[in-house]
Amino acid sequence: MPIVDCDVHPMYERLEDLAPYLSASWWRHFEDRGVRTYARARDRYNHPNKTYRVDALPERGGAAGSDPDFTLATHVLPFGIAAALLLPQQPYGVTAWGNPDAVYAFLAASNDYFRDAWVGHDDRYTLAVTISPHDPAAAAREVRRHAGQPGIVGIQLLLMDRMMGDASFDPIYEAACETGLPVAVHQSGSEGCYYTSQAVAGGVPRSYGERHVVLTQVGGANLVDMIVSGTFERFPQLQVVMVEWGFSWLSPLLARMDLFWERDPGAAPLVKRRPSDYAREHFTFTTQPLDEVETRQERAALFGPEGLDKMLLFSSDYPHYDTDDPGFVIRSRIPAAIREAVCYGNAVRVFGPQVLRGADR
Amino acid sequence: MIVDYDRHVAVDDYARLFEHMSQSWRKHFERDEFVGSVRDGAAHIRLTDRFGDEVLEGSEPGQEIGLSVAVPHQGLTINGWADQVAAKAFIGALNSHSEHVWADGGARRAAILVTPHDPAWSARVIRDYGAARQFAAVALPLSAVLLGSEQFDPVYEAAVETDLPLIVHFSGVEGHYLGAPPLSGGVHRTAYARAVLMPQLAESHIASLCFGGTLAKYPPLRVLFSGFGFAWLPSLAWRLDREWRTFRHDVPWVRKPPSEYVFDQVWLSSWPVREAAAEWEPLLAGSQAQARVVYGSHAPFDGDTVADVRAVLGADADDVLGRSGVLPAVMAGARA
Repeated sequence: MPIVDCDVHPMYERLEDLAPYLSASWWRHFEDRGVRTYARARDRYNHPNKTYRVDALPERGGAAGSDPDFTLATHVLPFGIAAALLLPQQPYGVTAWGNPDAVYAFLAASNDYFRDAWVGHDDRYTLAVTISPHDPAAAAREVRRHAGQPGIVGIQLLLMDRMMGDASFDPIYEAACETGLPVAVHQSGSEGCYYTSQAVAGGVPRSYGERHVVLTQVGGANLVDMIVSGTFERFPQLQVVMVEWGFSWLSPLLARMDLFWERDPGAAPLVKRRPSDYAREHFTFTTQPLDEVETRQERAALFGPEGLDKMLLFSSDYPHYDTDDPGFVIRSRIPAAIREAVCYGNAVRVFGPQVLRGADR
Repeated sequence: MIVDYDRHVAVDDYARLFEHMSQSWRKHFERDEFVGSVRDGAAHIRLTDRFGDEVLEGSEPGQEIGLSVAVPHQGLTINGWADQVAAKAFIGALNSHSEHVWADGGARRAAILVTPHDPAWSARVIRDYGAARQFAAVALPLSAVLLGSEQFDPVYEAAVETDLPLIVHFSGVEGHYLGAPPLSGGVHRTAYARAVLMPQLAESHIASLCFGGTLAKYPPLRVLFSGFGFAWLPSLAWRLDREWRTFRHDVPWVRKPPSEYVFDQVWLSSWPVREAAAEWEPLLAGSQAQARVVYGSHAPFDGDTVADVRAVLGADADDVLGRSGVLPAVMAGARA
């Protein structure tokens, strides 16, 4: 059974790696001023240990996830992963940048680099093209520039303060539908840190762990916002992949959406059908971090909601500290009846058969 | 005995509160725009922009209800007020109105309104009213500071000392008025979206009460999150425990899996019980989370009668309707 791992993070090793993809003036700009490549405010929420696995540090040196051969040797090959969806994390830093031109110079260079150095290196690697909301027109151009190239299977949309139902995203969704690429959304780390980012409900969590408990709320809020804003009425082909936002909150949220909508449909005039129908048709969710259910009954409950079998995509989050071990999770946690769908069937439906271009090895 | 923990009362005319205020505060509040805003404070989360909701003055509990705990929800809306000094005069007047009008010390009791913006004052109010038969709980509106903050310790100490549970209920301005607590994500333009996402407020505050160490520090503290639904609790409990396992060295004062504190000290009221029509079986059945749900009618808003609860929950309804953990002393007759 092929496994598609829908959340693997590659890194470039040095900023110089991007130099060949930058104009001389942008290269000078980034070299002079430096590049912020992380989004979380580390003076506000500091991870008490390390955000990466120490055993993921490449033997040749460099950051965890910066050596495509080491990731192959220690993660892809041992677990028999047929395709790894690469979601570069260094671009997450641009969510704290203020200059859209600098953002798009950097993102274009980063996309080109990972296309050549990773996707071009091994056909088990596939890439989601990273774009940000700074400039939706530039984002749409960047999507179209990469669409159709081998191994380009999706779009990684970074989130800032505007939620995904906002009409300013429409040029991006147009490009996504035109190119047949799904929009993947991964938390950037900026959530709850800045005026330019989205927040969790209620206030300011005190610590990294407390914030991490409720970080999933932002995923839920954007799902609600897209449905309430009529996004899927405007873009019936659009597919959204929610990466690392959890999924056990989904069925109570959808139940509440349906209940309030059925009671008063006029309160959400852009919603034309049962809200949960949009969710089931347009959203998929990656499995990591899988809730650690204790009993067989809890496991049945976790995977029990109707239609969930078609909405889950396996993911590991390699090389981060909370990686879900593919062997253990697939064998011991994901029910046998939905294992094929979760491991590759749903991924092929959402990303297209090209996601498995390296599966014949 | 069936207790209704989520009953709302409101004044139909703010001028009715003037007799409970000093002359100077009365003069302050005697202005057309404030007196005319009575419906704003009474309308809960409006799913429509029409300011037409009826203000119902303390409707009678249903036949089967042995005791109802009234939350004067106009007082909760101070979490959207700009003047937090005037807010204390306002909720002070509402408490006095509760004592003399809404609550009878028998089947009709009220929650003492306090303010998150002045915990020391709130603690005094709790102690002043704590022994009065008219009151059975403390209602704490939500500010933008999560409840695990130590600044609320005086409120928790007074609640524990007076053996009163804390009721946390949204006012409806959360995620809407500046200064009130945000909802998750960004700006939600519709009341529908805000109503849908309101449970996340309870999630964040429960996480804060756990990770901030409040529940560990005050084992007798009982907190009822009311009006937020309940189907989300198993999901939150799994996540709480997973993150605690990973980060427990960062919060050494949390001495056991957070869900154990929640399943001992936190309750949720049952409205809207129809959430359970789809979710009760897969997520809640037989879980410890299910045992935290107590009856709340949410009346006189679009609420649930006892019959609604029986219709949706079937065999589980009697457990929800008969649960005594929130008010053990009252239920045992010791605080009658």
